[in-house]
Amino acid sequence: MFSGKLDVLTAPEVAPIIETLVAEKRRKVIVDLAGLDLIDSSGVAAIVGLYKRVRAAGGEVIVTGARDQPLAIFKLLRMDKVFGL
Amino acid sequence: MPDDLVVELTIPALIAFRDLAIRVVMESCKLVGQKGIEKGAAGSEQTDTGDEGMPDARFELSDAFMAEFVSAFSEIYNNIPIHAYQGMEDGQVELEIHIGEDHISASIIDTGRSFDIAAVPLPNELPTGGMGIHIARSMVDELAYEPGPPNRWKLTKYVRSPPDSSGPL
Repeated sequence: MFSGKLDVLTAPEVAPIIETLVAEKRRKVIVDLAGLDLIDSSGVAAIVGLYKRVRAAGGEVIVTGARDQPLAIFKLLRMDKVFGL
Repeated sequence: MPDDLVVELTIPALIAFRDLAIRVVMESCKLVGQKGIEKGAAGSEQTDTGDEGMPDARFELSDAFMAEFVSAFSEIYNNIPIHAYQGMEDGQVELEIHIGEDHISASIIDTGRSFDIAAVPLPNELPTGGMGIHIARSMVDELAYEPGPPNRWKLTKYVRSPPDSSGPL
């Protein structure tokens, strides 16, 4: 679950978590964005990177809970349909 | 515009100062359209405090106008320390924010490397980079870049967009 900001400052902190999830070959990863207030292109890149790598390893990624500014960003980038938001 | 309120700020061109700049932009957005701001007037909002009594560090961006403008500003600002001043020391960013009755504009000036904005491609499906300028352009009514030195960005957003455009939010 992400909360607060996922941006150029905080996205690097998420990288080790993503590496762990990919290394563990998780079959299902749920990304809960209900607590996320702000996302920028770095944050989007982190989520897209997670999505691509888990799926490449045969897993499933569910993105849920996006609202307000983060949801607007995903819609702008046409990721709302990809993520089912 | 002559009646605009103007906020000027010069900060080090570091990512660490991005949040400070965003706070200024957020507060400036709140003042758009407010008439008769007088000296010594009491604030209309209480400062949000967290459990420890400290100011709430979260960005409350449920207001669409503010969210869109902050998104655009953030993307442009990020590029300056990361790209324009990459490998350079002691860079600065000058901000000039004009707060009007129906608009806000932010000029961002740096003396780092310039680039060809026309050469920036649209992001592809599920991009992992290169989205910033596309996001910024989509979130404001006007986005201009003038390569320098100094390099000048200008972002402008109107409270009531022209009939042929609509914001993402």
